[in-house]
Amino acid sequence: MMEQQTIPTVLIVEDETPLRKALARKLSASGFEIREARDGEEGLQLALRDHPDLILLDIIMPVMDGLTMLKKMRVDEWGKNAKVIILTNLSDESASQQSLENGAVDFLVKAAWTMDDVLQRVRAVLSRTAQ
Amino acid sequence: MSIRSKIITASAVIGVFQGIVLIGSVLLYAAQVTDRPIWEVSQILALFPGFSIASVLAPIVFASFVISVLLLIGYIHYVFLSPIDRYKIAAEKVKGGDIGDLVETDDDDELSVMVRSYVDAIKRLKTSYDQLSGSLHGQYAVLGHDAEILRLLVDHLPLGVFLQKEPDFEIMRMNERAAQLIGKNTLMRSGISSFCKLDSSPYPFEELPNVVVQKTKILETRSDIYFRYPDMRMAAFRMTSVPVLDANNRLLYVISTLLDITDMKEVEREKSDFVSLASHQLRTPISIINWYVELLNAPEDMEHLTEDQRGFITQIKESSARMSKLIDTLLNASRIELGTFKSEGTMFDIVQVADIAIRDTMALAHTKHQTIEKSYDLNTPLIYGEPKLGQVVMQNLLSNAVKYTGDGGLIKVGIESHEEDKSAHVYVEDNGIGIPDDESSRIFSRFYRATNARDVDSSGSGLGLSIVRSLLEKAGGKITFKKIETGGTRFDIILPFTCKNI
Repeated sequence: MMEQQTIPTVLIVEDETPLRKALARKLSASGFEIREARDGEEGLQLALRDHPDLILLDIIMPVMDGLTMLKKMRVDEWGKNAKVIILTNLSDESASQQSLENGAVDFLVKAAWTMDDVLQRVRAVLSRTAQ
Repeated sequence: MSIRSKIITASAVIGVFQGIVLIGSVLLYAAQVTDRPIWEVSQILALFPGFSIASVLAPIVFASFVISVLLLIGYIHYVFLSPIDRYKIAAEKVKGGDIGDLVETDDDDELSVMVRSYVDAIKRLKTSYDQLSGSLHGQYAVLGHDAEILRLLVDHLPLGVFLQKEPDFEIMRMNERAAQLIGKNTLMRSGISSFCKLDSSPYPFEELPNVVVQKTKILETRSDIYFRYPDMRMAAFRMTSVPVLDANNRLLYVISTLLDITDMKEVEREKSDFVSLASHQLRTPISIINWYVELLNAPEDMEHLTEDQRGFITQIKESSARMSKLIDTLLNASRIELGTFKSEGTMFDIVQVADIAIRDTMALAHTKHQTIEKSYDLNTPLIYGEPKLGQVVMQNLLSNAVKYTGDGGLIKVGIESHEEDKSAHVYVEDNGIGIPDDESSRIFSRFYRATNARDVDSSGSGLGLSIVRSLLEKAGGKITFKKIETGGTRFDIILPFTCKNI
């Protein structure tokens, strides 16, 4: 499937449906094309299939957690360079450390950030990519 | 018959014979001197004519003399020597410890009376001695029994107990439990502590409660200490030590107890873990509330809401923020209860850590229209240490700077690399409310919150700076602060390139 150049695609991988829906709605209203996944496995599939411009990734998920998905994705040719922002409620620093080691661009605590903040960050990361 | 009457009688008898001796001697002498027949000298003797008085008198005189001498000797033996011999034998017997069959005498002369008194006294003494001996045995038996009970008590106490005595405070006694808990060898060697802290670092000997009490005589000192058994199992003990002082306040003994609290610590840890887990879980519904409130507040939707409804939404938002803060506090507290962070040394980039901390506080800074200026020496080497250390330090300082600085404030963050002391110097400076002079010595104390900080935010825990300082110092670093003349505070941290005590 061809990447859509004009409208960036964001993949949201989050098992909490209300959160996923809220974020999807917010980002969509701001002009992004959204893909949603409910767990790491689904997320991995979608990522490798659709090559989204940015992935918002939760850590604690059933079936396959975020870090595992990230590591598996990095093995892929495209996946190596995929842009990932971790969204989580964990304040466990070892998780943040590991995700940064695996190339996550950022690590945001959901309970502390508004969706506007997330949106700003998404735009910032994508504009960097565009350059 | 008394000795006195015996002497008088004997004297009389001897006197009679001596009288004969005397008279006869006089008569013989008179006859000799006057050269007259004796019968003329003594008319009495005329009764015996025809006898040669001289020839009869002389032998009588001589015989009387001999008899009286014999009587004297016999008397002395009878009255004095014989009894004395008897009593001497008896005395020898008593000396030899045998007072069983003492010589009895019924005589009532002075010596016998005296001896009988002594014998009686000795017999009474023996009786008393026997009684005393018997009673003492009884006492010993009771004491021995009590001592036995006491020993049983101490040995079976479900608590380790040991005693150290002045002057050198070597361990004199330890009960079974103490020996079991830590092995006889461990405590016996003074100067060495085989105990450790929760993070497995050695527990300094001078900080052990029994040593502290020795040095300071403080009543009751206690500490939680850990012990690694040969099979690598970790046990936790609470050691409590008390001094025993004499009337002059001199230290006589130190008594210590060891209570196994391994189970209790396990429960504490489980509680802590539970609180941690629950707190994390609680963040999900809070996030949902926040984001849906945000959706409600979206400009395009807001027009359809009444004034009141917008007010309601604000309430929900604020309540959610309070919940969030509470959870942060719970999480911090439960981490602190554990007493330590996981000790994992890795290389981390302090620049990156600072950036992450800045991003985390960006939301609040943004709301307050504050600016954060960065000034990094990008050649700062990676730090070897616990990444958590860097994160906690930077997050704390930044969040304090943002929190305690007003709208439109400026926060500066700087990182410099210093080769001369092999460390990174980091500063966080704000132009906020500052720290009052009279409170500046206490801001690193646990739970201490400066009065002006309390005004800004009543719900802070007061733990942040104390954690930061203890973490830094443990790693071999340092934190200081100074007041900015124009208002605000600057915190300076020294973080060694290679942290200690990992």
